[in-house]
Amino acid sequence: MSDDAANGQSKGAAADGDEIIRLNDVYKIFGPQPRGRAFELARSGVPKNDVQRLSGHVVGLTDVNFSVKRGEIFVVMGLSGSGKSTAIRMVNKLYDVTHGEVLVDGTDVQKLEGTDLQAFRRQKMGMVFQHFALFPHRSVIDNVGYGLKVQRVDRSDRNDASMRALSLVGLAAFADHRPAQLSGGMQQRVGLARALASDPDILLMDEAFSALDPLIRRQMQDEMMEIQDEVHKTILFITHDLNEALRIGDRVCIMKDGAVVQIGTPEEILTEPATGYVAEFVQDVDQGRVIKVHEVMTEPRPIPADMSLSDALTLCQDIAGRFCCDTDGRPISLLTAADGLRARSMGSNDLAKALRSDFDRCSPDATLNELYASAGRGLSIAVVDDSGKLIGNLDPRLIMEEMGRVEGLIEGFEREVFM
Amino acid sequence: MSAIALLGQANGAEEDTGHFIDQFVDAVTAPEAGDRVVDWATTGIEWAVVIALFAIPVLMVIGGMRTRRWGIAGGGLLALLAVLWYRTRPKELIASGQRKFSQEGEPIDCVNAIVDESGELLECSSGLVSQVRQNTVLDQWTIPVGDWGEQTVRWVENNLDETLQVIEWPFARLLDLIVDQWLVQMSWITVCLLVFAIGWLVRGFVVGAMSATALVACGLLGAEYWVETARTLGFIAVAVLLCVIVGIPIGVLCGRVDGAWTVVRPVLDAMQVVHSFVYMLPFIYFFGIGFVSATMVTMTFALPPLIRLTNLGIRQVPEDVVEAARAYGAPERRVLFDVQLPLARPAIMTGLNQTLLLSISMLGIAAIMGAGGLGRLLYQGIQNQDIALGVSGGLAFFLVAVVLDRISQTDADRSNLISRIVTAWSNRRTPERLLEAAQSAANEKASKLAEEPDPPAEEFASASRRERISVVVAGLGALVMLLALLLPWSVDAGRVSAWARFDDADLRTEQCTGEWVDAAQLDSQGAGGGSSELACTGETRYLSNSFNGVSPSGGSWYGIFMAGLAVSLLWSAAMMLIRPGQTPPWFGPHGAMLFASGSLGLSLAFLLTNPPSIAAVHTTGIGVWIAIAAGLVAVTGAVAWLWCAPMTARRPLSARIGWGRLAGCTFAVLLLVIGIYSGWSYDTREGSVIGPELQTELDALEVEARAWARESQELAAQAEAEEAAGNLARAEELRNAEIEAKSNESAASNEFTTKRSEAQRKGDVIFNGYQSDGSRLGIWTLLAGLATLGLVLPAIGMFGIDEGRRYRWSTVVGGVGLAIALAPAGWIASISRVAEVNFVSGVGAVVAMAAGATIFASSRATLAEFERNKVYGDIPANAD
Ligand SMILES: Nc1ncnc2c1ncn2[C@@H]1O[C@H](COP(=O)(O)OP(=O)(O)OP(=O)(O)O)[C@@H](O)[C@H]1O
Ligand SMILES: [Mg+2]
Repeated sequence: MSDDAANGQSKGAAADGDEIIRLNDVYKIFGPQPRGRAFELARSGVPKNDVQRLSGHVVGLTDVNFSVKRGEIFVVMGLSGSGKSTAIRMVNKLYDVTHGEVLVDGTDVQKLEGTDLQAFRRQKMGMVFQHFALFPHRSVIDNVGYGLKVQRVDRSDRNDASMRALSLVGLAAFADHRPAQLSGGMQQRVGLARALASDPDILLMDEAFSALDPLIRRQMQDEMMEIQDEVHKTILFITHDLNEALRIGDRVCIMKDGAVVQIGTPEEILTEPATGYVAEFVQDVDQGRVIKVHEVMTEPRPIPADMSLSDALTLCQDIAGRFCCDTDGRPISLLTAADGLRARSMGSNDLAKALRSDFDRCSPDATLNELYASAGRGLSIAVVDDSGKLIGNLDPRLIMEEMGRVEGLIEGFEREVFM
Repeated sequence: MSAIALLGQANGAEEDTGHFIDQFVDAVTAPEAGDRVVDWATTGIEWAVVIALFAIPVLMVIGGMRTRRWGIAGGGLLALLAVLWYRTRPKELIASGQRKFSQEGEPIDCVNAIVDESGELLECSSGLVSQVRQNTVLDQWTIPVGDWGEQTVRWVENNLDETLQVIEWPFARLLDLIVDQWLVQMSWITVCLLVFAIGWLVRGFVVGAMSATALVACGLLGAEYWVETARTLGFIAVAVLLCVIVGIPIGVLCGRVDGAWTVVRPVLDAMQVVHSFVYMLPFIYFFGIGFVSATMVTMTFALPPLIRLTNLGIRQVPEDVVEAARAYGAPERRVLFDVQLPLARPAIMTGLNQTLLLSISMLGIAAIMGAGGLGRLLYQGIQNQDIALGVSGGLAFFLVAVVLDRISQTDADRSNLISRIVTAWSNRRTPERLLEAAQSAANEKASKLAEEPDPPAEEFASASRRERISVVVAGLGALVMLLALLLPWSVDAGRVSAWARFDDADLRTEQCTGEWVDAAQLDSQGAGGGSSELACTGETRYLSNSFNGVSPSGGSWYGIFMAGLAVSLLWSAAMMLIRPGQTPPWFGPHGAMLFASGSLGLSLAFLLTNPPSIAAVHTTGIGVWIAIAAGLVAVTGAVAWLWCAPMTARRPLSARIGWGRLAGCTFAVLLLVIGIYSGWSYDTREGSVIGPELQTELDALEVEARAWARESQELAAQAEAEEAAGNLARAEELRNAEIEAKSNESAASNEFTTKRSEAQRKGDVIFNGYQSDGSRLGIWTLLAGLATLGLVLPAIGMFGIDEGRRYRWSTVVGGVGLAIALAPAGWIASISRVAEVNFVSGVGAVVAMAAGATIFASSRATLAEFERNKVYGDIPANAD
């Protein structure tokens, strides 16, 4: 695949990828006369409920614009009925648009018909369904191989590919079972394997994990991310669970009543919610899970080893501690204000006597929730890069502050919403 | 008009004592009271109309139909004006009561005359209401629907003849191919095997075997019945096939295209609401009476559930599964065949079964429409009051219905055929309900599948030495019994086949010491005519013929039944030695005991069946004796096996004494008593019916008739001669005499035939179960039945309710019961195989069979509980 190189594990690389899916001004109205009055109403910005009351038509999507970049996990998130499934079904034309275009790799999907459409679906897309949608009358391996069967791949090749996909999701041993004989989580993994088997560029995952219990869900998310690291697909992922969206998404699109409310990285969503609606969502999220250390840490400004204790203490004025580094810039010890004061009160001005080395280290990409235990000790945490060099100083108080800031933000929006 | 009305009135006046409703109406509409009531009534109705006309728009306005309210209100207003105008226009008056008028100078009596305001008679009627009340008024307003219909039919026949033929063609062709050219032509064995194969494939071995057996039973009713059975099978097959060809695609279309469903649905409703007797007519008009229109009517009736359920099945396929197929690029054809049809299968199968059941229930109407088949036999049986035809036809009908239903049944439903037809009928407009049961069963199956992938392997207790020896003994007995079938069972004549003929000498082979020559040559000097028989030049000797256990004149069905049981016994024994306990439950020790005692009973029954008194030359062959001896050995072996086999009940047996079973056996003994007093054989052969006395009488009549015939001939000749001589008066006289003679002749021959047939009808010779010519099996079965009364006591727990004892003695009772049931079965089957049609087995044998079956059944439930002990890995095998 040409995009493999560009498609490193880090998000920066993904952001550089070109557009693979693009929805332009997409409207979808359900009802007997979708292009009639209802469409005009929706187009002039009448809210979904009013359109329904005035015209008896249901607005599925209204003025939806977003684009997905090659190799990224793009999450569409919203409450039940907000049009997520409708949106994803536009991409492989399970539903027809009322208005607008859906471009996949530059072709307007909605204009495809018949064999062209089938060929397009076979080559480009794999879809995972909310309720698995496995074929109950076929064995697991035949389910997984269905896409290939439709492509007229012969049986042995098809089974090889299916077995590969099944072992990717860890279900190779269940190839000959019926879907009904598997647990929910296993069935969903079969669904995932089915999507992977025909090696499509794009995976459409409609609430793929919603039917699972939290533990299995987490496990599936991890597995999916692992698989994604291996296969580098473009994933359009739908969920109504913000935690999930923030956890796995490179970018998140939040929908409400058929319209897009905000698109952004998880951090942006969390830290700069565009509307009260988003903020309300964000409220229930454990921000620590999303906010990364490098967003909170401060400049390291290490203490030179030859400094006197009292000079060093002035550097520790408003921080829980500063680090001393070796010649390679690796942190070796920590001076906290309390330690320094105690040493001075004992009459010493020797910096070395006040230093301690039992501090914690973390990487800049760690999320705050991983550091709660360390932060509880009240000591500064050393943020180090892969080679162990000190690149930041994380004050545990900042962690708490950061959480508080988001909460304040929400309160502010609430005021905006309710007053 | 008025004339008719007057006529009607006159009639009405005559019959003043009519139905009480008529009397009431008369009273109310009496000349005096009538018009007032009519007035009130019309006024009331008018006002009701006016109010309604206003109420409707008012309601509509309230209901928010703004656009229409002016139109409706305006309409109501117009209607009001119309009514007001009608009420206020100058009225015709009705002069109540009987008055005298004069019209054109003639005086008329008139009841309820219509007069104008000046009192002039406008019309003499009996009053509007009383006039309208007359039935004759209907004739003046007759709607000639029938004529229209007829004209339409004629038009269609004249102009669309070819279209009709095109429609008819596939039906006629299929029926011709499948029914006439194929099923009816096919050997019955092929048909039965075919049904067996289908049953096996579709439902499993047991269903296949039972279906084939039931069909064989239909065939054994007689070749005539077989043909009609095949015809019925074919008819149903064609009807269902056409339903499938038409119904499933329509159902699929409806399931996938909403528009199609909105069109089809009311059509289906109409098809199901209109009674089949109504739509039967157009089919008959257009396609004539016969198979084709019968098939069409059957289809019209049976098709809707299939369409409905197919539609429903397709619609019930989860949307996302269909989407999944589409999302992977499946074309619509594949979506249908890969996903929708397989998932709709339970629904479609339920629909198919419904269609089949409804087709079966239409066989009667099909028969009326001239479709032939078993329905025709039944119809004939009813019309001619032919009981035998009706009963046999009905049985065959029932069996065919059961076979077809069982084969097409879904796993879900285990109720019997009749209740299923009833459900099919009552749910034929809402077949969706039936689906729920089917689906819940399917789910159950699926979840079971999910829960227990494979049951743990079980080990059955292995056989002890003693057990193995007794198994071997029983198996050897069975083997010898089978070999004994090859030995002679009857010598010189058949024990049962002797019934078929008066002189069994013809069964013996004649051997000639000299040469066989043409009999005519031999006695050419004699007066003998040109007979072409062979005669022996030397001495004729008779060789004894012997017949083996399965030949018609040998053991016949006694032997065949015995062979079946012996084979089963042999198989049980062999399986026991190879893999103890792995056989189906009825092939264990108690099964062996049943087989052994059944086969012993059959060979004994053969021996005890009394040969007919006329079969002077019959001798019993050695094979029977060997079979009996071997049977005794087998029973001994089986008893020994039974007594040492490690068997336990799956559930604890009831701790109470089973008085019910004793009662059952007693009832069976009563049946056996009835059995011996009922006929075991009916002899309607001429020779046995017409005794010597009647014969002389008949001979005399015949002679008389001949004499008259001769005389009339003579008279005719004389008359001709006289005529030729010109003596016309004399000729006339002779002619009259001739006519008289002729009538005398016909009277005599009439009497001859009447007497004869009367004798044949009344004089059926019936032999009881204890009579020598009634096989005497009645006595023997009764004796065996009495014995079971003793044997059943330990079996029901009279001597302690120990499980093993009850099991073993129950087996013994069951074995004796089976023997009692099989002995008359052998008799019935053999008689129908070898005897001529006028000698048939009787109902006594059937009663005895039922008694045997009752005894067997009384033990069956207990036996079914028992199973060979199992051993599990950690328990040593010799734990018991
Ligand atoms: N086939 C349809 N016909 C009519 N209305 C539809 C159809 N499919 C969806 N809708 C309507 O479109 C709106 C969006 O539905 P959609 O299925 O996209 O919601 P969703 O965001 O996927 O919700 P959920 O989280 O519950 O799956 C809903 O109001 C729904 O009523
Ligand atoms: Mg959805």
